[in-house]
Amino acid sequence: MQSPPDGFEPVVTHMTETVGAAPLVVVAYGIIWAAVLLYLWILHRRQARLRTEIDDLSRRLAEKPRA
Amino acid sequence: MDPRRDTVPAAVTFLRDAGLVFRKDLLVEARGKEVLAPMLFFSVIVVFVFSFGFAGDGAAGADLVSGMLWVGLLLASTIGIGRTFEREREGETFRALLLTPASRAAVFVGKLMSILVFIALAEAVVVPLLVVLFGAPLFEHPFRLLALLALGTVGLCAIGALLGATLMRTRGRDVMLAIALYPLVVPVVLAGSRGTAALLDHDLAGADLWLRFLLAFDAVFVVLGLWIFEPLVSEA
Amino acid sequence: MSQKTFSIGTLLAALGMLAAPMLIFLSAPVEREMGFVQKIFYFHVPCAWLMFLFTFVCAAGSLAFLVKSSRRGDQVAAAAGELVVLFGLLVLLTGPLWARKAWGRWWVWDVRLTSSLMLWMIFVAYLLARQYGGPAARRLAAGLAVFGAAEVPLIYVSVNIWRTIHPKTEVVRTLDPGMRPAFWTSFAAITMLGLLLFALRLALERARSDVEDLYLATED
Repeated sequence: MQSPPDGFEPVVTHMTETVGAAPLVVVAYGIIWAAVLLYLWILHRRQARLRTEIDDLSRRLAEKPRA
Repeated sequence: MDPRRDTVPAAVTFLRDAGLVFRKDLLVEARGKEVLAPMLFFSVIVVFVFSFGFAGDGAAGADLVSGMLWVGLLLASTIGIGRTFEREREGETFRALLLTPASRAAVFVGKLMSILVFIALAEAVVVPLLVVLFGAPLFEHPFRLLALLALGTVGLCAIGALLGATLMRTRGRDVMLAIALYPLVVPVVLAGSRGTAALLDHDLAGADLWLRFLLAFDAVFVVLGLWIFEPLVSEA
Repeated sequence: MSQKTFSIGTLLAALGMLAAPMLIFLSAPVEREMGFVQKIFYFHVPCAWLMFLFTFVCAAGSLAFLVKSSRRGDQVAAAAGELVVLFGLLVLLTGPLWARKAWGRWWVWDVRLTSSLMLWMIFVAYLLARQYGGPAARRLAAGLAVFGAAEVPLIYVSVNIWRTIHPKTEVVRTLDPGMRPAFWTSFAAITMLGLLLFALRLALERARSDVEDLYLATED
């Protein structure tokens, strides 16, 4: 295993050996999936809010007496 | 209106207008001193804050001194740019400036030049201060140091002036200015700081590399700035 | 975008996102030197490419907005700006996960990651400017996007010069042919996904713009 570049040395070297690759990979893919789904959900919520606004405004416009 | 305007080449008009804006700023400042005095004091106190924060044992190597210089300059520039445009906003003078026949680009260059002068004065204070406090041999390669400072300051101020002008009517402007400015000028601070550190370590080749980088950076952003200054600043 | 195009796009993206992991984990060989953790790259690299793509899309939209007062340009920029931050975040989160295994530390000032980080910060500032920039919010943000895009090569060069003094952490090697199907499938899948998200976000932005118009109409 190559030594890390300049700066602080890792405090306890054996820690790196006990961190397996598999959990890191799983977390990485998990983050990507979670982020994408979260973003989709956020977009969905904003769209729903917009839709109620549009309905409300259209109604108000229809009720307005034309000048 | 100058009837001779049509016969004078555009470049001359441009320079003349920029010069007029520049002169106006200096005159106003000479009377009110509201930009320079706070900025100079701020620069000095920042150096001391850094000294106590980073160089607790009273010694500072090349890296630290360079960092203090450039981060200090960044902070002082933010203050200077903010105050300059605050003054314009309070006097409603900027709108008047934009209504003159002078091209927007000329106004931008004139403003930029006056901001540069203010920052240069702050540098004239901070650099000797650092030499005195930490014995840093900053004056050993004076021309390169001057070039670094000049190019770095132009980079900082070109972007800063553009953003400052855009933000003039925004409340909480100073915070927004910092938020927008700092990410954009990281390469300048990096180049300036590393270049100065190289000078202090007598690595002239390294310093020259950073100087070339700053030159390229400035070229890109001064041109870009001139081009989009008008749409950025006009109140759509 | 028509409903049909949208449905096809969604289907392709979904299929791609299912196929990619299968290829990555079942067919692509494990990298000799880096080991299993290298698998992160199949998603990390496409996210980085999308981050840069949307940077330039945002800048283009911003330029159109600034120079030609194009409302459409502003909408495109708004959507693209968010996606720069989204995919940038993914790059910056997956990179350290790899680094932790390869170098024992979460952050090693690798040239590419550091440059991506700075670009990401510029676009986070972009979103903040849009939200909190006051009356000049859109113009300020547009300026940020244009400058940010112009800085892509400059940031990289400056960080590169900086890091040549320290040992480089060269990460991406040439791709073994056994890895290519997995890589390009992931690339296509994530790109499809990114374009889909962009289309959704853009549609949202246009709807929001329409709502603003409606507000103005009711106030007459």
